[in-house]
Amino acid sequence: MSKTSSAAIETRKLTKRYGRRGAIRALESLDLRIEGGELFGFLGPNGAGKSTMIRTLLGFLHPTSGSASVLGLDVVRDSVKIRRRIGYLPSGFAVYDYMSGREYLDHMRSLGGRPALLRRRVADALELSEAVLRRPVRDYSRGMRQKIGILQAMECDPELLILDEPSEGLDPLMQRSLHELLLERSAAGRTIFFSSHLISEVERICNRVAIVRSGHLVALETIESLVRLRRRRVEALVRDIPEKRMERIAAIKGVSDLVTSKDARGGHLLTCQVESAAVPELIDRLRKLEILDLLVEAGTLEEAFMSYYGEATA
Amino acid sequence: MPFNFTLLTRLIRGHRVRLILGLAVVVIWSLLFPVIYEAFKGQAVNVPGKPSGLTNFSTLASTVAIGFIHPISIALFGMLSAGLAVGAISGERQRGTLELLLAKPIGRRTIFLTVLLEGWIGSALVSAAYVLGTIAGAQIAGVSSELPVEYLPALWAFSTLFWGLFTTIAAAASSSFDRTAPAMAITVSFIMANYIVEVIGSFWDVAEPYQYLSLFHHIVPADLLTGTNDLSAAAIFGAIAVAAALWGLIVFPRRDLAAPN
Repeated sequence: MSKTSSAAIETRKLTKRYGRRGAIRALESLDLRIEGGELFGFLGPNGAGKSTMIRTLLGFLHPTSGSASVLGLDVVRDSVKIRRRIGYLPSGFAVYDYMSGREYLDHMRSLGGRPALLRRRVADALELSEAVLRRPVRDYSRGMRQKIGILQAMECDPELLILDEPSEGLDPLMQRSLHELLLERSAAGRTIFFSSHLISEVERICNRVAIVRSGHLVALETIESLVRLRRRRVEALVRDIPEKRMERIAAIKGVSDLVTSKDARGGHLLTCQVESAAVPELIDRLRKLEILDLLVEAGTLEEAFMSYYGEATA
Repeated sequence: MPFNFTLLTRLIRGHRVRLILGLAVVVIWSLLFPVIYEAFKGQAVNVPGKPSGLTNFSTLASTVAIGFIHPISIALFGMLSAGLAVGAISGERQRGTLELLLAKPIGRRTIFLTVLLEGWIGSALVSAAYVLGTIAGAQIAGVSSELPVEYLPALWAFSTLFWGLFTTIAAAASSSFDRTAPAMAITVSFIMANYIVEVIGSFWDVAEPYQYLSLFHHIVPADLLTGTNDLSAAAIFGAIAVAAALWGLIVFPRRDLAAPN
């Protein structure tokens, strides 16, 4: 199979500009490739270009230049064919208030023209009982509406799921159920494009992540790689730190913000930031001291994300 | 398939209360005219030189024609034809429900044509309701023998075409804006401008030469009910409706639909 045919989503120099003479640059020369079966996180703050990207993939917006394909089909020429094979949950999902939950789902399924193979499974996971689905949507809470939105996106078991802020309005238990559902569909070979501003949630479930800023792609890595690039925070409680040992630790390349203080537990507390490559050497040198306690905290995706934005605004 | 019947069913269902109540009101309203004719026909005055139907109560046909172009009829017909289409796309966009409709495998042209079809169905139904009310009113007033039944299908067909034309303009406006208010403003202004030109021209000699510019000038219910109507009016209505439909079919698929604010 060729490289192109296995891509669930592929953009090539995708550019979208709005306004007079393209003054507003929503997407700028964006190259992205998402393989089939990936659970892909798409991160960025409001206005970064996340929604523009999704709306271009769905054919709501026309690219200014460049191209994009979804499931091997061109987003401009084959938009209707693409939409036959995807499930979509928009941010700020809205429903027809005069319908019941069941009527709404049946209507959307009928428009999509595919059987609702997963309705029971997804409804159970999201605790949407028959009694709830019989009620008019206008009586639903925000969280209930969001569940209906997720259900309509997932129930036909689409090859590609595009979810824009799917956890909006869901309580933590429901968020967990949603994550389990997504992991299950991903394991079944479905591709999931997950746009969110909740970094912790993306970190928890996604394999790879893209970070966009002002329409530019600033990072495209696996979660592990992104986190690995970040610094670790090390806290070591040692019996004593002679001056010379302290200088040697401070001299390790990749160690910064080194601070020592007396600790109430007895001994000295050493804290520092360490680049991942420098961790083995630091541990080696600390071993020569009498270690009473040691804590090495991994970096988080949030730190990685903030550093990209910090670097950008600096 | 140029239409989507799942969407059509949902559109009609969403408007069902308005349709049922509105059509009932049209039937009641239109049955009044034969009754009025029966009550006042001895006192009615035929004013020579005035457009057919505006002041002529001398025959049942002319009285029914007055009802057809009465401002209340215009409001009812407009609400149940153009009024269905004007918010069908812009309203969905405003409420945020267009997102998921467009995410389904339905082309934008199919959506536009389905919205148009619903409006034309409304136009046909409201015209039929007017005709039905007229027949019922003639029965109630005991003037059925004076009703030109053979010409009622022509009145229905022209009325459907006439209001279908405004429906098409409403659908084209609806597909061109993100909010219902501008689409509504364009549609109502267009209907009002045409109506005002016709009405002013009927009692102000200076404005009379410009009456032909009004679409209302080209639908003469009294002529339709006497079989003396000018068929070229149908071509005018049809041409404008086709132009408006082409606008929607070209503009709507090309529009960028950014995220709602």
